[in-house]
Amino acid sequence: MRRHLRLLLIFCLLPLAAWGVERFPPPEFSTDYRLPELLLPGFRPEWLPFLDVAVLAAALALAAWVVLKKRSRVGVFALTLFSILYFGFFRRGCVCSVGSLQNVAYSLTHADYALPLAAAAFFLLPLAFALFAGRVFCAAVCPLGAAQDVVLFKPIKLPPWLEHVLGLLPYLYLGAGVLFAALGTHFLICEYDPFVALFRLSGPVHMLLFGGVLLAVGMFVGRPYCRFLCPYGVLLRWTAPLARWRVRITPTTCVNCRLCEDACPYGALHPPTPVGGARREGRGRLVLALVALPVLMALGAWGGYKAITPLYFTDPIAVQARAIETQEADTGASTASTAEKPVDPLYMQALKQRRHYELGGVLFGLWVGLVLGGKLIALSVRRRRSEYETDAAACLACARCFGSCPVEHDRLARQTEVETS
Amino acid sequence: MTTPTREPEIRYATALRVTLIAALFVLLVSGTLAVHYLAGQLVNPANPVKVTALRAALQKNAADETLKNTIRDEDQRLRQAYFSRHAFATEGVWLLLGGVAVLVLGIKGACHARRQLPYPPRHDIDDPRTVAAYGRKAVLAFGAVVAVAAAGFIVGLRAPADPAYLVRAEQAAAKAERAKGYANAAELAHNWPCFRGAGDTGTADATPPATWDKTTIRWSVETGLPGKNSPIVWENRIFLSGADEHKREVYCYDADTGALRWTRSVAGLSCQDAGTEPLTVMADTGYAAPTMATDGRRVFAMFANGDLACYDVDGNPVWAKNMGRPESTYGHAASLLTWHNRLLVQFDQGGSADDGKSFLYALDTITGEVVWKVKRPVPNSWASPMLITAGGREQLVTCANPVVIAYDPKNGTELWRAECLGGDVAPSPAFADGHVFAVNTGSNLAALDPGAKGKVLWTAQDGLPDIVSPVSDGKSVLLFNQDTATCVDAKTGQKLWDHQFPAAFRTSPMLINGTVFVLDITGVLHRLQLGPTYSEAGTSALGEAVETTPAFVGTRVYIRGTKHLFCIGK
Repeated sequence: MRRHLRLLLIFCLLPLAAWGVERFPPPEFSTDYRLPELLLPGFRPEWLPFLDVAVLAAALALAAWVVLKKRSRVGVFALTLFSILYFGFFRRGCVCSVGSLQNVAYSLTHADYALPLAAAAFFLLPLAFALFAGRVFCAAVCPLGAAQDVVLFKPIKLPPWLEHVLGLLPYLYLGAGVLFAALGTHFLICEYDPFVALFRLSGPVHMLLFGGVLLAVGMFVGRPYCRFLCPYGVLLRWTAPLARWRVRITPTTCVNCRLCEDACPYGALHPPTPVGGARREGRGRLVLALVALPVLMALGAWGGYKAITPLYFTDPIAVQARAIETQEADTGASTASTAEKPVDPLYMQALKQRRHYELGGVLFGLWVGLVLGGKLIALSVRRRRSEYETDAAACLACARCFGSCPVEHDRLARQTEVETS
Repeated sequence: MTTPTREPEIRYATALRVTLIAALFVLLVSGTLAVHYLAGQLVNPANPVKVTALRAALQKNAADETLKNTIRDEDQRLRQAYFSRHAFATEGVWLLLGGVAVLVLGIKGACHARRQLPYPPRHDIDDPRTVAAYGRKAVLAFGAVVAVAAAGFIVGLRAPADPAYLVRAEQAAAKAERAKGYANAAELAHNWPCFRGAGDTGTADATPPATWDKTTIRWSVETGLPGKNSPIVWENRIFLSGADEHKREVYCYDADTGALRWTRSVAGLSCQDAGTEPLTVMADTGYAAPTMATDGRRVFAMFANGDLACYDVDGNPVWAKNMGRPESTYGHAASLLTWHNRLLVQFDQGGSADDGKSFLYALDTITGEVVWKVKRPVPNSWASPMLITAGGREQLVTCANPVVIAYDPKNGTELWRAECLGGDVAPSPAFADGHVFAVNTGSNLAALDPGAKGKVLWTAQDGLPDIVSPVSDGKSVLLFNQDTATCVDAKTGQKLWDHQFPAAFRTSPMLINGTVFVLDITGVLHRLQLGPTYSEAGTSALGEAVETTPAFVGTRVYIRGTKHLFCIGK
């Protein structure tokens, strides 16, 4: 009996020998060549994204405290350097909040994609902080903004009309970024991130040049990418005006001394408005702009449909479908009646993608029309200011303007007195 | 030691020098890197021009060891050069970065040393209205630029014509989309989707020829396996089913030519209740008595063994299942009916209501899954369900022994029931002027009000049929029992007249534009006018026995004889 059991056990264990066989056995012929040891890049530790999120949250909190409570430009500058080092050179510019909006768009349109925690946090945290404390993310946490901020030496003031026009570009870029992310073809904002190549010390020459040019321009024009390109800035522009705590140049009451008039290098400071003016003319202009809005949107939808749909033919799915169709034709597979042939699933996928392009084109066009029409409306609405005010949407909370305010100097002097006494 | 007043100047001078030195350094490193980069473009290990040429030479002279060694040396040289350049570039970039950092600090220091206190600007504050006006013009100009750019883009990227694969995919998608839906009421009324026309009410709109002979028979074709089911019609397709003890088939004919478009065999469906005994049915019922139904996208066929099959109108199988072998004395005969995307199956079986085997099913037309089912307190029956609109809602009216029950077709909720029937119920109900007429031999002809919870308005016992369904125009009700027709007043149930014909009837009469069309078993069509007295408008002989109900569509009539399928009319 025991012998039988032993035999049975041996039989049961026989398959285990298969484990000993190497999946890819070495060649049986003899050679003096030594195979190099296979080197694989190590996995990124799982805790690192949590660290990134924690650092981001801490940096945002610190930025809010430094800007709103301490009102310290030095503190902001120090945090700026840290962000360049950590989010820029250490994290190599990824994951970043600017690019994360594409992950969000992609996850919303692709049910099979799970949005990574870090991407979600990087998307939401700056917006959440903006809801309470304004654009403190732009102040010193965003590595893209930080890189431009440190090279700003001699800011010049752009003509307001030019600012209005260039200020439209981020909206269009946002639309394009979301469109192509939703289509699943490109992460446009990441592909054309001008500074990621600098942070990685490597990249395509044209992107290195683009980043270099932006930095060169940024020595005289404050943060050109942030103001005139950054799509995430659009979202921050929408949330920041709702903030309860935000940057105010003067800590108490503005004395309208005009000393701060040129203090903001980012065009986010608005002077008081004159009293009076022809109201009727302004009202007529506003009505005209309101009427123009749906017209512009309709034109945009048509133009978007016409302009974006042809891009479908450059989509990887379309290219693949075309290749398979050509292959079918070459191999004579199409000799059977096409009506009887089952349709390749890839063709159906291609058709779906084509419809996505059509819809995407219409939506993008609507968006462009809305942006242009909305801007015209915004420029037709009269606003009243009795003192110098920061534009909550455009203010990057860099804390540069505080030093121009005599009331702030007075406050600091009193504070010093109190501390010394 | 420097005085405080000179300190900024010294700081400025120092920062300026640092800046200049850093700028020179940055320029030097940048230039070197640029030259290095351009030089690197000439030697690319991924595109080794020389090695490729050498390899080509080696192919001609494979035994040349010197050539092999040259290739190896060249390859190694390329790789070493590549990695050497890479290391050089990496070090250079770090040097550049350091230089830029010093440069930035230098410039910052210089700016800081020359920092001036803010001074109120000399110019006036810009009028925001002027600023806004310029802004609007600029935005409009920008919009024009965007429009021109878009136009250029559209013209430059003019989309090519849709490739063939997209066209095919479009067609397939359209077909699939179409297959998902179901025909609307107008489409159903325009066709003949089930037994006795849309809703199975016994009335329809059509303009069939008044009489026919051999010249007005458009075509006739031989049918396949026998079947007592009536033809249904969808657009230019006619559907029939046929079966014997061993085989079950579904046929589709072309309505214009009578050509057989497709045949499908229904087989291999498991029947858990089948046992080993062969299925036997009464010859008068046959193995394919239930008339098929269509929702305009798919067709459904049921057989005496409980097989239920669904095909699309082109004959592609959609789903099939066996409902269980029905316990039916004469063989299962209730016809199918569709409502929206539901297939309604009256599945009455068992010798007694106490058996609890009778159900009404609603199946999903696309998947065949049971959406809802309700138990029916009846034994086996052979009547077909009828779909009507009464009391502001759609009602599914069913007849069996001893009750007429109306259900909500949406969820199977019982709306009302009326106990008025008895025996082996085979005639289907009729509906006219808001009244349901249910009948069976040996019990009653009952007029029910479906808008009042099925209230029995009256009952009558004259000329009660055992097979043939009644027909009514709302004023009178016409019954056919064997060879005798009996007409009763629809308001009171009083007999108006009766008439004996030379042959018996098994087909159900249809009321077409005020005229009753009914075929006797010898294939003679009788056209009767409903009214207080008997009035026959005419007869036409088909020349073949008929036991099924014709389909009236437009100007044509489709009749299934015992051996042929006929199309009459233009």
